[in-house]
Amino acid sequence: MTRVVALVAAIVMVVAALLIRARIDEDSNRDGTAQLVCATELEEACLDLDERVGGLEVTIEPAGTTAARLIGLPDTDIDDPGFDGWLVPQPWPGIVDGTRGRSQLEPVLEGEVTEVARSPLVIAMREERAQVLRDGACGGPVAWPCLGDVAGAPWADLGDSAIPGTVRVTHADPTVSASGLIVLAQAATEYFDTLGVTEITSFELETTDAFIAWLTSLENSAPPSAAPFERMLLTSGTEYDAVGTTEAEAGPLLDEASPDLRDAFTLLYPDPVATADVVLALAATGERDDDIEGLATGDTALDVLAGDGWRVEGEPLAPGLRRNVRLPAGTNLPEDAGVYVALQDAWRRVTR
Amino acid sequence: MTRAGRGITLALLLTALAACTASSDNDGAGGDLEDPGDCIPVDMAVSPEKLDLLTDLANTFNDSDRAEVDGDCIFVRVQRMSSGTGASLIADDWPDPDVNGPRPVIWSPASSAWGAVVNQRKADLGEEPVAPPGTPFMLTPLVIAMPEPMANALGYPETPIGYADILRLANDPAGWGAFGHPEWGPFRLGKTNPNFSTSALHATVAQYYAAAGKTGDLTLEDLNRPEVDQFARGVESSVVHYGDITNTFLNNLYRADSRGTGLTYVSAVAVEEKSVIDYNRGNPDGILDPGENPRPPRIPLVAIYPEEGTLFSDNPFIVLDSDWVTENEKQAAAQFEEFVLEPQNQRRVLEFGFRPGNPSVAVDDPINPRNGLDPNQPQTTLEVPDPAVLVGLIDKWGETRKGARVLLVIDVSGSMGDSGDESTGETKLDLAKRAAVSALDQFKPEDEVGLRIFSTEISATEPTDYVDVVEIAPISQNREVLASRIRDLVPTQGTPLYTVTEDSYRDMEDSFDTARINAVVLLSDGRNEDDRNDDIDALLQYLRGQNEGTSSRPVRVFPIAYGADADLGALQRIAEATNAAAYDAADPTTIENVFVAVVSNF
Repeated sequence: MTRVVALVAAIVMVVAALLIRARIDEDSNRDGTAQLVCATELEEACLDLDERVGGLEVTIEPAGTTAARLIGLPDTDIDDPGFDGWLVPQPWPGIVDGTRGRSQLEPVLEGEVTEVARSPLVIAMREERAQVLRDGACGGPVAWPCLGDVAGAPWADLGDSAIPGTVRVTHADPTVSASGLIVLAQAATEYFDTLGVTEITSFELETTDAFIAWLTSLENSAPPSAAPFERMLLTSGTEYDAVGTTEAEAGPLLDEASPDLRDAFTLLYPDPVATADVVLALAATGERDDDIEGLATGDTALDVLAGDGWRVEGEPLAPGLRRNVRLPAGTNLPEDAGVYVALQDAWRRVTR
Repeated sequence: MTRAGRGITLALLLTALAACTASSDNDGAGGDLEDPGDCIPVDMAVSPEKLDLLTDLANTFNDSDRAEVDGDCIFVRVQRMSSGTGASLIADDWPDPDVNGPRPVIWSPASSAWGAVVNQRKADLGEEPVAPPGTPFMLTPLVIAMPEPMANALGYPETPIGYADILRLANDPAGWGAFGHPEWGPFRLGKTNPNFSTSALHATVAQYYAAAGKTGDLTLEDLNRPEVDQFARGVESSVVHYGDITNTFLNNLYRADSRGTGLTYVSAVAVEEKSVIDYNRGNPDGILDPGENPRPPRIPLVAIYPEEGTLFSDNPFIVLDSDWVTENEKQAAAQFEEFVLEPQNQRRVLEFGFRPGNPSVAVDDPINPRNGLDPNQPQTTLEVPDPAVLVGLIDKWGETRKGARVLLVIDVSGSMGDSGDESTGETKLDLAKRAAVSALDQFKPEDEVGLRIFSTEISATEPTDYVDVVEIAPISQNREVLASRIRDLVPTQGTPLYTVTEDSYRDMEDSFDTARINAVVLLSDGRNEDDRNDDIDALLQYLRGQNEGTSSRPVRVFPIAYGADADLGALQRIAEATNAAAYDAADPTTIENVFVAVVSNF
């Protein structure tokens, strides 16, 4: 009898083991890869990463697209958000968290993010046009407050009648693009700094008439572009006079450009330097935290990010990055994600 | 204009575009597509000016070890598709691949603006966008191409030239006489129809910017300013005729140049920079047929980069998000895109006369002064206006364009009673009548249109070979009569093609209106069947003689070769003799689209 019981127990255990194994296999088939969503600015690096490591499924899309989807995700779907990690420049995870919080929705992201890479923000211009501004309207280094003042003005009025047309300044669309939003924040920060305001609030953005007027001038001199610096190079600077972007986008591209373009264009690093900080935000489900963190912040990931023009601690600088740039401890941009949302609203209001 | 308001207005633009871009001869691949074998077929629809280049790159790619994804080979097939037509087809989910060619995985219109147009149309239908932003893989700016001696007379290359100069020249009663060349006659501008052609749309945008004195933020208010309207009418008044493709002008100019009469055909043509290179190489349509031996023209063209600024055609590489595109095909398309952007292939782009879409490849030969170009131009790129403004601009163009005076000459010979569409039982004449009535809507109210029908012994009195059914008059007055008379047509006898052509030309010349485009639209389904007049050489000599020279009153004859038995060769020669274009409607079911293309000349 004991033997029979033992045999039955053994069979039950074997069947149970087989069932558990089957379940594990099923899970493994269903979720065998970690899902990483990357902001468009990180496309090259993420595709490289996808090629070099296994177990990763990469989706590339604008930060604003991902954010809109996560903000709209009902609490009932929070266990299956469709991703495990989101590699994106700040402050987009904060925008998602903050907006969901205000809508009384559960967090879809884990509270803490992991900083992965950085890139200073730059202004790209044709050197001779930058010089016209240095010598004239800006009275020194070209910075955003000055660009906002001269945007839309004829070059002839600024001291060079040989340059046709008006001053056209642009960046990517800040409502969808990570770099576009950060550049806008840099421009606003520099503007308020001239007023002695060191920490911008949403209230100031909405109520400072002079800022709205300045922003209107800045943002209407040229429409936004998905890839403004590349477009600037391809049209030899005839479409835009100044483009705000990340060093990670502009540095390597300019380095690889033909010699005539390399000679013609310059990257300006406004003082104080502000940075785009790329972070990995994990899904609140936490199911594959270890997998995704290992893949997206591991040595290979850091290597490909550095190779793609981002600055990574301990990694060599990619060609085209300026060597003597001292990065600040923080981003030198507003920390409150609500300020960025207010900036997006202001941008929508002032643009035609 | 708010961003939110753009959708509604863009829908209006799309309606206009869809109505007018349903046709372009030779669009689509037809039935001669290469068999991809076991490979993943990647069909690519491209605007006509880059057909040769993309075919060349696709062939190289297909033969390389790069044409592979996940172990499967890739086979890229390229078909010609004008941008406006492609936009309409994609927005309509690409109906009838047998007629329109295979559904594309990749779409490359001349300008990114067309992708936005498609997405807006989808949004208006509550559907998801299907044309993601494409990577520009080559660029070419819009220029005003001029025969070199004419440009020199205006001070080229030292003096900047712009639309304001063209306006002054167009309005000057002395014409080129004001610049010491009365032998060149009046200033004549070649410009296509902006409902069809990207270069025409860009030229019209540039013209309005010049009129408004701006380089960006063109507004609806600007379009309606009296001085802007006046400027536009002034420039349009110098137009030779319009049309769907710029190649018509360049082909005609090339032929006129070979006869030594180029300078009296057209003074300037709004085209893409690449077309200037093609023309100067002796390949005016940019497509080298097998055995074609290009010979440079006697008088080359030079590119004027308007001093007010211009626009670039950016040739995006759009991998469609349409239902018919699989993930495998998307991956295969991405492989080809990467290939096209590689420096060695971007140098091929340059060889074909486009500016590279990869900044690592410098703008170089053949974009140089030897080919009439300036690699350091343009100095200013104009901003593409808001969709609402584009709508207004196209509407305004419809009002300000040069008026037309057109005689529709329709063959009602017995063969027009043959079957035109077996599926419906309609005769060729039935189809032609419907198309002609439909085309009447494209004329503006002030245009003058008349109707003549022809067949041997159609009239008991002289002239016996044709009858004027409706006298030429403003279409606002005779549209219904025209439509009614066209619907009443019935097939009769033979085809006195040469007599009706010569007499129609003579009648239009006798009543020539210098303020209008004077033209004959000649629809015929057969060969000349008139023993009394069967000398085509004499006809051509007459037409050429009347059409050339500074004092000529050029009437353009636009023939439509209708049905498989039409004498396309003779009709082409008639068109060429009058510096116009012939249209091929060998398949009678295409006649409606062909009529749309023909009427785009006015």
